[in-house]
Amino acid sequence: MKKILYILCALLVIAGCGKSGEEKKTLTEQLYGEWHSTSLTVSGDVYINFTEAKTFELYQKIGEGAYRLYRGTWNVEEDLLAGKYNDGEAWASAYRIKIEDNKMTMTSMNDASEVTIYTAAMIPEDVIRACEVVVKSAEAGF
Amino acid sequence: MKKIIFAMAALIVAGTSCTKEIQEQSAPVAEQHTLMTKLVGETTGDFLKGSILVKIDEGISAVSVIEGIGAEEIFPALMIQPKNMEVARKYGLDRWYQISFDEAVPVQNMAAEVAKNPSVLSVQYNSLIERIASDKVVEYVPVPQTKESPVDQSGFDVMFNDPYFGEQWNLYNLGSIASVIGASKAGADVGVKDAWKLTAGDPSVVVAVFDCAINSMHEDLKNALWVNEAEVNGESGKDDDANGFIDDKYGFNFVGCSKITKDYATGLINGQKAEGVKGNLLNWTAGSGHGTHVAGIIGAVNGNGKGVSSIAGGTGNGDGVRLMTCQIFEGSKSASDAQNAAAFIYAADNGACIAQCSYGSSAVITSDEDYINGIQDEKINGSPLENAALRYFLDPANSNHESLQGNIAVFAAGNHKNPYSSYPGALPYVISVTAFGVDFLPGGYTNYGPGCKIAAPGGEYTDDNNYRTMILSTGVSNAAQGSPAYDSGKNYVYMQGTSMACPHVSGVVALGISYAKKLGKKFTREEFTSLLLTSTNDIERYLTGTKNYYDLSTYSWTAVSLDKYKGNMGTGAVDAWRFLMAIEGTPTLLAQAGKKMSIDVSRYVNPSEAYTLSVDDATRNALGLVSDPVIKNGKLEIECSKVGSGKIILSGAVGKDTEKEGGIGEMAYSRTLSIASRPFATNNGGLL
Repeated sequence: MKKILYILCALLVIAGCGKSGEEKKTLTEQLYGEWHSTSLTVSGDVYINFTEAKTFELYQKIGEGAYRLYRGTWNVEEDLLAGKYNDGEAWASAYRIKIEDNKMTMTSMNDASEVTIYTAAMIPEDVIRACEVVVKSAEAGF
Repeated sequence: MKKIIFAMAALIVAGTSCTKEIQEQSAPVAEQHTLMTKLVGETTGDFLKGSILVKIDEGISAVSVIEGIGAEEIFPALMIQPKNMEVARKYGLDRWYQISFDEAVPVQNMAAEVAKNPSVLSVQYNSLIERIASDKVVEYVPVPQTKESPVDQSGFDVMFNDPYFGEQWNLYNLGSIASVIGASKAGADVGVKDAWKLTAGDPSVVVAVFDCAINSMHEDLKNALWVNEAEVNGESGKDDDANGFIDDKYGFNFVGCSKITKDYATGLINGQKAEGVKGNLLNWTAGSGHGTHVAGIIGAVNGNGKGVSSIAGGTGNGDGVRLMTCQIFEGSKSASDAQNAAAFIYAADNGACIAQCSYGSSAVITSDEDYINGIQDEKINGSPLENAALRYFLDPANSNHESLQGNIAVFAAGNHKNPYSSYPGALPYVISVTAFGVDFLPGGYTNYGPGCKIAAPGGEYTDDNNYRTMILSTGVSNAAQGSPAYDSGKNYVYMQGTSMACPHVSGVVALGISYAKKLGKKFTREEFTSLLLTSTNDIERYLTGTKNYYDLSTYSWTAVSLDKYKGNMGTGAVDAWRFLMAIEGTPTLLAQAGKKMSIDVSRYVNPSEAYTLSVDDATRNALGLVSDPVIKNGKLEIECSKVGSGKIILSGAVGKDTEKEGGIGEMAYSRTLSIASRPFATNNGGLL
């Protein structure tokens, strides 16, 4: 009986270790992957892919029209997320982030009323494909 | 008054002895003035003998007009279906009649006699139209290309399995086609390759091709034709669908008033071959395949493993646009004004939403009023009947597609190197297309300036080792009649001209309508053309210095200054992808409240165009605008003091003759940009 109890305890410890291992994922690690907006402060639809190489791909559709792709780099310090676009322009705001149950809440450090919410979701292929186009007049020297 | 006097002088000069006799008989000068204002038509150009066109007053018996003047017959100039009579009346089409008389009687004499009748409002010579075509065609020797074995444009990405796609720089230009005009420029194309990811056409879109007949046997076109099922399945020689036209299976021949006739290039003259030239000069008296070439640019079937790709030819699953023949050229014959007007009525009544018109008037006309009313300084030109029929075609009541209110007409600007567009293309309610080459520079032949609305690939012949800078499309047989190749339907040829540029725009418009349908959107004609004209690419930046142009009229190279084309090629180069994006909708621009912003809008509107910006009071208040927004170098400069949202209207115009009062008028356009002012924003539009 003692032996059985010992085994059960051991299993519980192992299971507990597993759970605590997940909880130990840093905020940065939890951010990796693809996210889809569920609540924005403007009318639109947004997908973001945060890569382990600390780059991001932002597919945004604000108001009418097609998705537009922005690329750049990002960084997290404690719970503050900041970034820069590839054209050199910094994000307009840094964000305090909170990730829970595949849901990410971003609160602007410039304006606390600017809160956006994302859930973990794959970026649809058609969204990616539509952004693969070079717009001639917007690009130099075509 | 000056115009009237000059017009009289022109008539006297052009008149025959019989005309003089009439003038001598006519007494008061004032009366002559009244007569002459009624006379329109091209006295110095070609016109039908034994025929004139008249517009009579309401409630007047047509027969009374020819009483006692020796005419044989008077009959309605156009056949109007009863259900369409209301729209026809709007443009007075029900009051145009054709008078026939002995061909020995000079047309001028009969016109002057008829004009004396106070019930006759207008008299028009039954002028013959001119096709806009360069006289050069080069047969294509097939060199099938695949992604693995490209011939020239190495690295091109095949969208469809059409083997000659690699030759079609006009659809996808990688900048690697060998050129002796100017360096081939990547992007000097119609921008369709990416647009195909969204749509490649829709069979509900019918394009009427006003030209010589489309070769209905061609392997790459036979499944792209508009088909009148009732006639195809009906009885030969019978008007099976009761539309007034017998055996109009794929369209109608308005020149011969018959079913469409085949058009073969059997009259090609090999005049240059002795000098080592591969190309042939076209002998227009025998046919050319011009209409077949034009049709192939718009809608040759994509993805069928044969021939060329086209702008709106679908994906190989029967989903491309449909091509209707409105035959206005037959061998050496051209349609008269009345026949051409009938073609517009036919296109409107039988489902076409686009009129593709690579033709124009040969007359020198530089004023809308002159064209519409007919009287011009020293000549009597114009075509009020054709104009009225064109307006009938464009009228919203005759809309032939669920996504478009009204129909659209696209014309070639002309190949005479003139600093203005040919008419009818110069009219402010139709699109006139200029041409550029593989180097993104104007084709040396292209008309430019007032009346021109947009530019497209037209290609350029240089020499026979460089004919690939022309436009490759479907063609007709150059083989002798009776030979196996005669009916093969496998011919592909190169041509050049604004005739070729024009169908590029028609094709893009067709693609746009297809995409609007896919999105469930509907536009007015004005909204749709505004989107087309503002989503062009900038070509102004290339218009400096000179380029060498091979002039086919002199067979010599000429240095052409590019400066003269500045601001004169239309709003820019047509781009299918940008147009579809505009149809999809322009994203809301994000600005930061309390900060002067410079927002890049060059991906949404052509940055080289000068726009007038306007905002209403509601927007001004909602955004707390500190100053009036402006666009400079493709960037919207705006300063908002409040968080809010509103709309900015961008407006502009193209085609206006700014040097001649009352000259060629403008086509206005506008776009609406939505703007949201937030607590923070970036200049590049990124949300974060």
